[in-house]
Amino acid sequence: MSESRDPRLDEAYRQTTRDEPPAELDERIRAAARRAVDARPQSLPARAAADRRRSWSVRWRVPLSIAATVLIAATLTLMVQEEERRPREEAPAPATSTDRMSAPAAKPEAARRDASPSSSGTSTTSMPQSPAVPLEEQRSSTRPSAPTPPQSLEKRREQAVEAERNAAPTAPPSAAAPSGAAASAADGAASRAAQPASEAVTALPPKAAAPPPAMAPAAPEPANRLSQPLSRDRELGDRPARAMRESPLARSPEEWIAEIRRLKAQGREADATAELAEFRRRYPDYVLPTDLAR
Amino acid sequence: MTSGPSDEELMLAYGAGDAAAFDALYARHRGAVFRYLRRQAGNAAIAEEIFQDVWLRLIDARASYAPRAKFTTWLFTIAHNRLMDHFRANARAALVSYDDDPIDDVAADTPRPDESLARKRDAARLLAAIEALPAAQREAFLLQQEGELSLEEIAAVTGVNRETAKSRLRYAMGKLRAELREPERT
Repeated sequence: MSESRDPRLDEAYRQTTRDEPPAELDERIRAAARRAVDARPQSLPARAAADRRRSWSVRWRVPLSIAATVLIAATLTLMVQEEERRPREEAPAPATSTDRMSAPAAKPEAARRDASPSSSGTSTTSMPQSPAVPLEEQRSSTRPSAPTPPQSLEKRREQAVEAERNAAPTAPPSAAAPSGAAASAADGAASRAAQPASEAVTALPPKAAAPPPAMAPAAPEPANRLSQPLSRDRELGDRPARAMRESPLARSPEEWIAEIRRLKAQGREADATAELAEFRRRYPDYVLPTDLAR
Repeated sequence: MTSGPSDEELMLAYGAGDAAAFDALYARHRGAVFRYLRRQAGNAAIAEEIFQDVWLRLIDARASYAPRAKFTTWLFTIAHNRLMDHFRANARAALVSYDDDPIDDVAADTPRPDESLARKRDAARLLAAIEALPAAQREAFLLQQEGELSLEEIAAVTGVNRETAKSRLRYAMGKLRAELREPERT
């Protein structure tokens, strides 16, 4: 560097006018420098404090939005899972309701079981049974176990309705025909055979106003047999049936009528009349055969 | 030279937000930069405009400043670039002289006895001779005198190699010495 310098020249140059920038230019530049620094905090801690002061909402906006979104999503997920779990928890409910629905079917069975011992001492059963019902079927229907599934019940109901429709011209409208033991049923069938079919039809009130099934003539048709469980269910609530079960002298109306006829045939009119009166008192709604209706 | 914090320390302090550091730095270099610009631009108004622009650029660059070179080298580089922008924008004829670096046969190294030139008179003649120099030679000389830059630093500021910078400076000094040796023209 020294070889490129000339002391005489340097001295001469230092003697030249020392031009300086104007004072207003100096002030303008210094002001710009201060403004640039003032726009920025003096120190890093001060800048951090300013950042903190700037706006917490600006800094927390994104995290809060994310948190709210996650919260809503979690809530919706839990709600959906709860909704999905509810039907699953309620799924057994239909089963229990099915059980409840089948319970009435089982209840009559139990009622029949309860009723059977009360009538075990007599030759007749307290529960009306169709005479045409096979013994095996009667046993199975009175069996305490294996309640009828709802599907088969429905099917049987439909079959009963169909069969009833088919048998309507000849069969009595009452689907729930009371039935007794096989012997009394045979008597009932004989007595019915003696009656004109039209008379039996007209003598019986309409189905809606039908007398208690226990007092209705036995219906040998399969339709009646098929509808037995239903009619039995209804019968359980009937007062005369209860009365029959409760009475120690309970016997089927057909048996009673056969007994009255037998008394008449034997010429024991007084006894027959007394029995008939008692029968009428006991079964005031029973439609008597024409030979006894007088 | 200067005592106290170096130019680089002051610039770093200003970059950290210390406005007083800028004031100290500005006070140190304002005259040199202004004279460099004033003598290169040849117009006081243009020199002031470029001068302000140079310092505003420095202010804007405060945060990214890193002392990779001497502060004055960086400062005069900014000034040189702004000056070149000005020349290009105004198509000044003087710009041509940067490319045209005529080598004349002035005997720059010939010592001449001191003829007791009056200082003021010599200064005026010197200024006239500086103004008459080609721009590149003048710049090299001004950077040496005002920026107190070495040959390497002059080369760095002007974007040439050291030998070119040395040659420019040597011819500039030879012309100026010759001007100073010349008897006063009346």
